Amino acid sequence: MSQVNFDTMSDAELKRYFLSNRQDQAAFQAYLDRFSQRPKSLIASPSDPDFDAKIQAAIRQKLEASRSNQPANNAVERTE
Amino acid sequence: MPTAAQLESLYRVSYQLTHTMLQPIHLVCVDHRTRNVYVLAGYGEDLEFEIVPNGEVF
Repeated sequence: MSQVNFDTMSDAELKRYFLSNRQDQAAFQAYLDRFSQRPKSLIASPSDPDFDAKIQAAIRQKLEASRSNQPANNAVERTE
Repeated sequence: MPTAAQLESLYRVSYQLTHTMLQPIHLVCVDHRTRNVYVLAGYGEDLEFEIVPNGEVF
């Protein structure tokens, strides 16, 4: 079995790798480890009366953030 | 298996992603070490959510 060194991959590379190699549990676990170390803030609690609006706002915010990070590459990229 | 609270939040997040915001969902998975549900969505694969066992969404 070939060993892939996830440590040398950027977050984006590791994400692409586990999405194309879904049988590779180690890659996904490695990504989840990085993901869990990132600072995160609470978006919504089930008891929030405006739960859905908060989720929608968070999605919008994340979309805008990623758009401004890569202005030339917001077209849908499809790899068959 | 996710908890009932996680499943409810997952449905509501999925609804907002796919119905309201028209974004695809690529992956839904439980991290068996933390019991958190991980959701990866968006055309740019850049919308990530974590749903903890009490249903809170991060």
